[in-house]
Amino acid sequence: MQVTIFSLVLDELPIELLPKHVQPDGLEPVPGIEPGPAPVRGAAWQSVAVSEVVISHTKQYANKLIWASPITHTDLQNATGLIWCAVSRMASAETEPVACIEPMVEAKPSATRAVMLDQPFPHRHLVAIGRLSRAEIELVLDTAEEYRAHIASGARRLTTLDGSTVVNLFFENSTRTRMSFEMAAQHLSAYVVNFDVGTSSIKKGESLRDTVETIEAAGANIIVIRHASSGTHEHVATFAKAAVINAGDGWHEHPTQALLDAFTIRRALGKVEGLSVTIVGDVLHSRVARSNVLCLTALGARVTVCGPSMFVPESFGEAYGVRVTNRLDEAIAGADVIYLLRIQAERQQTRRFPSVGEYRKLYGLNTAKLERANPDALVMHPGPVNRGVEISNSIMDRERTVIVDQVAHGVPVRMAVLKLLKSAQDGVAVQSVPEKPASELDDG
Amino acid sequence: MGEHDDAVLIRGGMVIDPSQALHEERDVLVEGGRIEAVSREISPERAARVIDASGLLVTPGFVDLRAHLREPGHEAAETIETGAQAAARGGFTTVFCAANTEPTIDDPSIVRFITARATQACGTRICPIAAVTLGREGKEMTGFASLLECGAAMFSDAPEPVRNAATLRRALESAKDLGAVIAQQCEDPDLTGSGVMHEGSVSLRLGLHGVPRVSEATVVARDAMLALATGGRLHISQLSNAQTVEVVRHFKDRGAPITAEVSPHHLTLTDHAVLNRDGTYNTNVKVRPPLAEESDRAALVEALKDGVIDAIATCHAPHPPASKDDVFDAAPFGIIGFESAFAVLHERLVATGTCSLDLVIEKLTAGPAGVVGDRAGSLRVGASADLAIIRLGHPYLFDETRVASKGRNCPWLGETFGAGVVATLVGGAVTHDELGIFGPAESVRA
Repeated sequence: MQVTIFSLVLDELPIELLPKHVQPDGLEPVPGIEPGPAPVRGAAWQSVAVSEVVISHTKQYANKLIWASPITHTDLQNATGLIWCAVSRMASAETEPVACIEPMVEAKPSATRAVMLDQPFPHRHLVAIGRLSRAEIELVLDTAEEYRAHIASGARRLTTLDGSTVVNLFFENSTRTRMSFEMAAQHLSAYVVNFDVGTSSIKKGESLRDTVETIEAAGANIIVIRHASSGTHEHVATFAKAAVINAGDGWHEHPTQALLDAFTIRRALGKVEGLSVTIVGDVLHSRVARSNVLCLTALGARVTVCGPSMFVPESFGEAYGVRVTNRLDEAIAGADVIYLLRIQAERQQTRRFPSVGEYRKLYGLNTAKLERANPDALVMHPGPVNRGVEISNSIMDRERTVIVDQVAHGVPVRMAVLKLLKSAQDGVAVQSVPEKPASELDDG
Repeated sequence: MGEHDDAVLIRGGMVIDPSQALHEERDVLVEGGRIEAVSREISPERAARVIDASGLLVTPGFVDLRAHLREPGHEAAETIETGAQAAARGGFTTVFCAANTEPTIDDPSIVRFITARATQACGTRICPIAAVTLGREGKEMTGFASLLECGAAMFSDAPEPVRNAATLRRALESAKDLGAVIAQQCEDPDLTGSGVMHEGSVSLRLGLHGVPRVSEATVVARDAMLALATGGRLHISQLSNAQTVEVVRHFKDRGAPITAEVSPHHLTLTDHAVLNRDGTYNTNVKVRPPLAEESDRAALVEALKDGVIDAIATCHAPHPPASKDDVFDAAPFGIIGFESAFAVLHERLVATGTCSLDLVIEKLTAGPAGVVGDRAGSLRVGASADLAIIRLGHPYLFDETRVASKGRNCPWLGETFGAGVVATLVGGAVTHDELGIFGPAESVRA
């Protein structure tokens, strides 16, 4: 078996961020394989092209060094937390690829952010939370915190996106997400254009590729897309020259929502790591649920999903590594955060649940249920809220219900995303993206 | 010697003909478009031409019970001419073409049109499958007797099933009276809904609408009971999961007059293929019924071995290339299958030791021929000289130059295969000759 081993250079990595199976005491040598070069302390962080990641079909060493098929770059990133990895290709198609990861000990977490700020953001598009590492998620949240403070201080617009054009291309209706992106872009001095799908030639059968290329030709630098089909942004990212931001694709992902939710939790409770978060509702048909599960687990939270079997199939637990229960009392007992999903009639092919009354009876959150299980829990909802269905009025008015904060945090979080993608687009270090108030520019 | 003017001796090949349990080095003499002799040593004097087939496999031409040739109506995707050429490249000599053309093959005039177009193509035998119901709408039955009379070879509304059980019952009764076969691609439209892939952990991760296994299995159970009750011949088209295999096994054990087929892609791929390594969704494996999980794939292979599945059918389904360059929900269902079928089956099932070469050849020849009671798929003396000549152990890149179909919706483009069909003969006429072993081009029918 001829194998080229991945050489992973792990610099100052906080070891506790690694999953157990890549921590030193979980490592075992792979028989018959020469180890790659030893990790170099202090060497530069390395990243590689996605296309060079290799699949392992070997299950023999699962939970030790190797993942079972299929493994993607994203998986590798997620699995190893902060690691950027250098991966080399197999010498021949016949051989079994093997990933060998040797983490460094005695790492300092503080260095992570500094390293990331010294280089461009490594993603040209924001397609899915599943593609971000923990460090990248935290970089977004940290950047958002700076913008939140900036907005709260009443300071003037920044010039980060001066001269850039952001196009909102929404194939599905949205008020708050689109408005939030629009405000974020304007805070950074971008031109903002809302492309009206209803009156465009898409109605005349123009393909998605043609639409995107037309918008790019007109001068868009960043395109924010919402589309009813899962995987839309993965597809568009294969040909788009502009940066693509996912504002929701089918049931798949809604990454900025998950980021603003994590931001909200972090602000309210000081951290995400170690928290117990319960998501209640139509998880199966929810992109918000999927992105939140990925984001929160990446940040170290324990997630439980709860709802009727038709909305929360048992297999969801296996697919995402989360706890599944059909009992609300069991799900919310001991939860630090209760996240209620909107019952989305518009995204269901048929009305699945017998009636709104049935749903409210079993899964609607009211004060009595909350008091009994967990009176202090933070309650969240992505909006728009169906008052009296998934959430009662009394819960809405409660102090530790932070739905309004979520909406407010959408703007700084989306500003952070726009800034980071701009740094990737320009190929300049995150830190050096010019952050001048608009007034200074006016003086010139 | 005048009587042997057109006789061709194919010498020294390894002849594999499951219809005669034959797997030995043999000479094959073709004369007058028929198999004249198959034996150890045939004198070259009996032939006008001698072809050296040493080191090659000689098998009956492959029979495909299910392919979409798109003509009439969707000529941008495929025509009978390009489809027939693609079939010849894959070693197929008899192809049953599906009724979902526009207009539907539900009238003798359309059957005659297809038959006429087929005579202008490269020579591959094209057998039109006629619809069970007018326009494949599931309501009014077509005229089975007149369709059979003008050349319809089977009846099927595929890819849609005949949804109404009473309609299917009447169709099976008519099929019994006329000695015809009804093929059903089984699916419950309510359970499938707008599903685009197998319902499982991959669909959950990708946020795509899943199709549960029971969508197929429950309808197969219903239809098999109708076949048992009526005695009408039912063929299950494109079996895709382990639950359905168990249902077919159950009813075959009870003597139901049913047969079943599976595609090369369901035998070799799983739903994991939907997710590309770079995170994009692979529309080239969007197919109906969807690719299921490894346990399903393994069950299909077992069913092929133990005879629950009778035949392999490609379900060759070409689409204009641009149509697959879209989001997964919007891309059409289907995979092109003629050119790659044998190579993929050999690579993934035979070379890995999972199936014998003889079994794969049987399920491409005698197996499907038996489903429809066709005389094709055999090298018996007197049979039409339909042959595939195969070379093993010469790895090649399977790329677009290997594809004669108009479609490019093939998940195996770019792979290296060790087995390839190098020549194909239909009724003694050469329809494909990659190595030029049959000599100058004038022997190829125009």
